[in-house]
Amino acid sequence: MQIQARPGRELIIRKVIELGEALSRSVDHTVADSLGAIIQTFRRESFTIAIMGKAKRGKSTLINALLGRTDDLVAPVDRLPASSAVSRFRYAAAEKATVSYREGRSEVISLDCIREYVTEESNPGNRKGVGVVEVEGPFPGLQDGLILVDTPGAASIHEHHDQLLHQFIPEADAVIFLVTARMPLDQDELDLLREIRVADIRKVFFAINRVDECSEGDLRDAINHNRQLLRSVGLAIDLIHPISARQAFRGQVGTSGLPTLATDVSAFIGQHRARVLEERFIARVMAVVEPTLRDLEFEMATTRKADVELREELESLRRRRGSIEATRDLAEREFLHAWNDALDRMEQALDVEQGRVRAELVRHVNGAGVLDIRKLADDLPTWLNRTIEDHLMIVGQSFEERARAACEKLQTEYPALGVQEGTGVVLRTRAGNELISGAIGGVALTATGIGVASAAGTAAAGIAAANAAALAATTTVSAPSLLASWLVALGFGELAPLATGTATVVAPAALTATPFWVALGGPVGWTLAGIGALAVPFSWHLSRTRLRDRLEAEGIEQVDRVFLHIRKDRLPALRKMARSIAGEFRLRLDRQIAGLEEAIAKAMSRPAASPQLDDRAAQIARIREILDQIRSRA
Amino acid sequence: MTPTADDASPPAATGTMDMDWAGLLSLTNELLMLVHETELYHKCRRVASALGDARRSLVAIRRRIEQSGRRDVVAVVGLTNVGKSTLLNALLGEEFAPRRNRPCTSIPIEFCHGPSLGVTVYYEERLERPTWRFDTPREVHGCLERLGEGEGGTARGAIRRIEVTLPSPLLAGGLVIADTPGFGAGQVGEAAGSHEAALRGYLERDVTRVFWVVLADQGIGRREVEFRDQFFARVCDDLVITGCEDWDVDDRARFRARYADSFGHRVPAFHFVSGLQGLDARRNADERALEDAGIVELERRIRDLANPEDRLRSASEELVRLTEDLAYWLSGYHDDRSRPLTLWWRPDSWSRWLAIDRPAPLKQSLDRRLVRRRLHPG
Repeated sequence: MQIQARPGRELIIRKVIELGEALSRSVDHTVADSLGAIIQTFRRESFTIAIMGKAKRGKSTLINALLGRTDDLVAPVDRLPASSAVSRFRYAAAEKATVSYREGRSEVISLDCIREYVTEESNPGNRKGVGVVEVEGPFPGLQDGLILVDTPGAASIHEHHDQLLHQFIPEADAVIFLVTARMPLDQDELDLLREIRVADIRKVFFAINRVDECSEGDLRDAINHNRQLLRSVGLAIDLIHPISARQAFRGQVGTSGLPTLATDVSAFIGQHRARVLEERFIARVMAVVEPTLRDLEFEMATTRKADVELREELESLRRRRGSIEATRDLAEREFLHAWNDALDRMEQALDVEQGRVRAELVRHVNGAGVLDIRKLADDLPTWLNRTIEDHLMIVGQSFEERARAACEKLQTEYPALGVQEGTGVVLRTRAGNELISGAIGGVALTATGIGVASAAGTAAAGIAAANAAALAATTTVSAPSLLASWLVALGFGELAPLATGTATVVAPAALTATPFWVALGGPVGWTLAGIGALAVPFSWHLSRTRLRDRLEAEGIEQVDRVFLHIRKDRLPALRKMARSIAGEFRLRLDRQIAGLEEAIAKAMSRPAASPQLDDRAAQIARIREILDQIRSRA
Repeated sequence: MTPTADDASPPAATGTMDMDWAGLLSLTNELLMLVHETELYHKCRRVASALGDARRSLVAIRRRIEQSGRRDVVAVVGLTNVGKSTLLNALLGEEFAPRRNRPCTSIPIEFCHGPSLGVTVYYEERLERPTWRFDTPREVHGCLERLGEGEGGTARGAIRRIEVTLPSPLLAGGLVIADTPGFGAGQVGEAAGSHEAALRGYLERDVTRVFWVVLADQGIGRREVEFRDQFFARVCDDLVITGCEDWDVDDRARFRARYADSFGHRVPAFHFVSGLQGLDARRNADERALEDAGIVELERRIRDLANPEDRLRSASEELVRLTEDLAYWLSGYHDDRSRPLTLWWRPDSWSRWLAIDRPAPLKQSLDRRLVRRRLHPG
């Protein structure tokens, strides 16, 4: 794994140094210091792989196996949750262990004593105040500046473990995520994955541990469940490694699945090391600089204006507030009307399609030869499902188009707060009719956390949220993973996370950037979701019926059942959904305006502007410029 | 001279706690009224909140008494895949409960005594209760698995619960053991939290006692503790640790020591068992192995709980303990100027309580505890 010195590397470092200098000139020395530390890590070119997962997933055992240990001295293992500290393992000719305490001092300890510092049993509640334990040694595989990190398990009863883990996460360049075959991926694990995602760590190796303790069927189930769940929260994991860290630790490396994992990891590092390190470097720089810069800009935006000016803007904002009510009311009414109209049409179309499916069913049943009855009975559930699905698709798609149009119209006509380059915040009502312009520096909005997502993004988020709300309101459909799989089957693969509404939580950035109409993939897929579950008892029933007219009657009953289900259950929920979408729009605007008012009021209470204002403005512009240059490399 | 009604009535039943369910319930009601009225009566916030605590406990006890009068349902609750179903199978002696490596059993399945094997399904919105009869446990297992695959929704609508009858000696006394939906598995989209909602509703309505199942290898997580505190802390006195095949005495003691702290003042009994080993032992009729697997001890505990007299006694004891705690607190109370509480009870409520004509030892022992006196030294 030879590191390719990319030509741009030094250039970025220079840029970041420049950035640090620019920042320390303006205010914050601590930022420059943190940047220095980040640059140092980047220069060292070490690649940090952390093993993460819930408690008792076998993280320490995996570390021991990967390090080729035959004992658990360096990464102690226990029946009860053991690891209570973050331990880093790196290559060195001689073995050495160093404890760094939280208060800053560090101490060299013997390898035999590691247990006393990193286990809950010997160091309960981290009484000793251990920050991190560095272990060096002639560990195979770590020669190329690879650092392996053992972390405490998430979500145990020991809360300080989670704190340590949380603090450590940004330091990782890639993660090996460990689950077990026995425990299906759960909420805590999804939360942890989300945290990893938020830290902008893009490479996660996913491994199912302890496969030696379960049957092949169980493993298959677990892999399927995990894959579905991961996909539905928008995590692209292409490879799931079944491993047994314990087998490998005991010397049966061949059957443990560990070699494949190790190969995968080292192949990835060999290929992408420079890129990942650079990405991680930039992500860390951004995480440090962005908040400071935003504070600076907010301060600038507000101190530049005179009190009188601000007061006037506040007045103006309040005055206009009343006038947007009429606009939004109209937009909402039009939207509801269009949506309900689309639903009415869908309801009518449902009748037609129901008739068609019934007719097809009768033809299908009566078309079969006498000898085929048995086969007919066996295949009927599948056939019926597919046929219903096909017909529903037609209905669903045309509803989708209408609903999408309605939403798009609502979006363009709804009053909205936006940011306009140069002029600041704009309160926009009907196309281009601007009410307030230049009320306050645009950045102020971002700084107050109102979030200046594009209108499209806002709408998408709104709909995803409404979608989720509507889904949560129904209880009849309870096959959890069906929705995602159906959407995939329907060619909405990449939309699945949106339809489930979880994408809002997992990847807000991705969502706001998604074109608005995409979010509408939800309703149609959802109309169909879970209907498959209705077929299970049906097929069971059917498997006992061998008479043609009984088959026909049962089949028709099933068709009616499915359509009735859609009419009684899905349509009302869809109707409700329109209200929640409109409500979401309303709430968002109200919140934005309130936030803006508050921001202006806050600005008015600030001390008078300092004389070096223009100077600072120039600095900020400079910092922004450098940041843009750095970011454009990523 | 005709005997008066009093003379004619039979002498009070003998025994430590000579009271039937109805009597106990009405006494609890009276006590509840006394506590609640006094809670509203006291102006001091601290006193009121202590009484509020007592009131909540009383409500829980009362609920248990009420329910025990009807059916005694012991629910087996735990995270998805900790081996609840395996444990049940070991207890019931046959492989009834579906065991799969996926979040499953989203519907509570109740096992109760019956002359033959059968499965009855109760629907959410329908009156009919289809019953199937079976000859072998295998068929029952298959039927439950199929019903489980529908995940609560069949063509006839959502299933509320499934009842399995079987001629098990353990259930002969009218005890019902319930397999519950696992909680905590990752669920996304429409069904997120649906398992937990279903379980919560069931625990609140139908269950008298909870056996909380955790997996030895997995330990107890924060989510589990939170779930317990939220849903069943008041009805759970037993923690069952499964998968303990190769855990020795020392390991078990360390397990207990590690987790006992997270239970607050009401630490449950720890039962270390091995479901798989138990099931095997049961199949081979190997009593010793069954004992080793911890199943025998667990059965004994369940039987004790199922015994009507024991249940009555345990409810009475709980009342006594509660009044004792309350009396201790009240006697130790001092206000801002370090004066003790001179008046414990609202006077009219107290007179009404004293006037209750129930010459039962329980009443007297409660009275003794509720009368104001000094319990705190100094």
